[in-house]
Amino acid sequence: MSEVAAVADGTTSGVRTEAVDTAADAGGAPIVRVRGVRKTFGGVDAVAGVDLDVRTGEFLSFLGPSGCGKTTLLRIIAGFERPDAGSVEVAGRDITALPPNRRPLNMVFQRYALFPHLTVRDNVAFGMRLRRLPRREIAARVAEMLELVQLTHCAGRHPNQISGGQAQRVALARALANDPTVLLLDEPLTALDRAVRGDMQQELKRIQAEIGTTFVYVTHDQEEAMAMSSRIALMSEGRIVQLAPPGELYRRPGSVFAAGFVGDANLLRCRVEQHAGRSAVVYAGRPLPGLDPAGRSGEVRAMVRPEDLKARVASGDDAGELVGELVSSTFHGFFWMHRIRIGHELLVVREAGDTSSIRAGDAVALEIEPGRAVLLAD
Amino acid sequence: MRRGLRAAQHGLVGVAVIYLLVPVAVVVLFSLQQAKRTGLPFEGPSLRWFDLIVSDESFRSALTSTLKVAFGAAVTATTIALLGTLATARGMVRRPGLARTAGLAPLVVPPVFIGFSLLLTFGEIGWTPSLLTVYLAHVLVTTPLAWAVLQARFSRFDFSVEEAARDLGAGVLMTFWRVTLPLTWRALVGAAMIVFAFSVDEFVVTLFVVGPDDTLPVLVWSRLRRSIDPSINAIATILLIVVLASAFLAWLLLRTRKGGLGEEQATPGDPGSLVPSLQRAERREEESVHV
Repeated sequence: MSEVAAVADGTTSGVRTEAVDTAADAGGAPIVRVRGVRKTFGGVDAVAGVDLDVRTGEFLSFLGPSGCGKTTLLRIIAGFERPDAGSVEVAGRDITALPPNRRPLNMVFQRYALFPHLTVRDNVAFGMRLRRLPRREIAARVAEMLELVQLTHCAGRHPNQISGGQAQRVALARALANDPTVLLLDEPLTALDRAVRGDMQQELKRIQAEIGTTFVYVTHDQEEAMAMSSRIALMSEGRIVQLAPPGELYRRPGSVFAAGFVGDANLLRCRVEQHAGRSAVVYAGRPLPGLDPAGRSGEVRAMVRPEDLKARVASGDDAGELVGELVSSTFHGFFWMHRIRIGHELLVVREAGDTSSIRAGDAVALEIEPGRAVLLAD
Repeated sequence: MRRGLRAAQHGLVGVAVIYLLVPVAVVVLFSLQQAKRTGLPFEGPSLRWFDLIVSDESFRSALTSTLKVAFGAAVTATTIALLGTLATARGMVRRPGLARTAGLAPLVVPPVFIGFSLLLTFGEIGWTPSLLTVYLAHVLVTTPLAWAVLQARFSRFDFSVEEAARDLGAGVLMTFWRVTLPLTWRALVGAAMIVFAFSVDEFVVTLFVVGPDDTLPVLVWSRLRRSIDPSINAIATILLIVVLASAFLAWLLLRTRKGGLGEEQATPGDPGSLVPSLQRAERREEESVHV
């Protein structure tokens, strides 16, 4: 309980995350513990063995392409799907066998799922009325929740009289009114217009920081996951392939899949070779500095983000540097994207600023920002 | 040329409507006849035949039987159809296509066949024809009607609201009571009214399984065999009123009202069901926050 209090005090997400991390490192039990969960639909593994600890107060996202099992995993935690194997614990209690109405969790649905026959106020009060809370308490809590999502003026309207963005805020207020141990969100912004979506991201972050509830969020949008999460569970084919904070996932992706799914990536086809008496990762005949090929041999893949490559016109004495030809450049307002051919591969280089120093057809020398190349697992 | 075509179309429709309505009008008209015959010239109007049948014991018992059967069939057929279509639409049935076909199948079996086979079946299991057998037969032939109505309703029902209710703490029954029923009661009552109207008027299957207690259509038919009695016009008119009233009620309940509160909630991709000006205003508001 003291953890939650500490979280509620934190005003910025940075403060909050640190506070929670310390608590978790100090041996705080995870709020949700998923063990060995599997689910098959018609012979296809939707969730193929997932172990996961969700920390108290964090904003954890399940990120992955459609069909990766992220929604199924969320629905298993919510109780809408029974896992074929494995268990789900919330706050130390095994809830695997409980129906959704007896779990201390609430969910925000992709298409709002507001009750069309009830007003916004009655929608928010729904859960509390089921629990037969005193009328006064319900009214106060409804007012508090509507204020939290800034919809006090819509209390008397029906769901068909409000916009999509408002509807999703009502859904959020309705779920939070029950004071859930963990809030589950199933792609809640997908049905919204692009312009509204950005606002809602900020809104969700603000609300989470304000109330300190643990959020488990499903999305296929990597930018959304990066912008909001304290940690991201990257999923593929029913498994969590990497679980890390956004920065780490971006900077140190563990696999080719992770590198390609999160952000833009240049995947360099390299070889581990002996170079100057030591084993090194060699790309286009040149060893890449800062990469340790320990335990690897033969073909390996390294990744460099487009913004970590610098290109300049080759000067002739570029011995030991990567040299290629600029194939094309496109202008994106505040940066340029250059496509550069090295051997048979095309590398993408991002150059900040509104003028470009190189032109198509130029022979260019490439430099990798020190420490920014990453060796990927196979 | 085009005007001529249009006039011809209107004429054709007019003829069709007259063809459909004249027999009805004739029966209703002669039920108000003063004279003790069915034919022109018309004398009256008079309610003497209504007076006569209302005090007629066989009519009153047939009316009671008809209403009992119709009420029972309406409740039972609607319940069966509700359970079947709800389970199918929720995806709880392994072969939904098969379930849908099975629910509608009795519609295409000839009523004479259904009546005859029921007569044989009831005979085999030793049930004597009675109002119970009539009721069971009516449930069989009317379930597809309720099924069709409810299937249409549930096919555009967003079941995520049921999940939301479960998620907020409602059990299965509470979810039905607080969410599913308030959103679908029009279709349920409408389906029941259609079944009711159909049952009141059902004759072919009824004739095979009817016992000593006649229903109204059977009563009309058995009296006609003796002679054409003007009181039959009155009975037929009462039948017509009962059927029309329930059908009209069903229509009131089942017509789709745009943006009605009992209907599905609005979605952004569905402009017809949103209040457009409100939505646009809100968008602007949200965009300005963004800027």
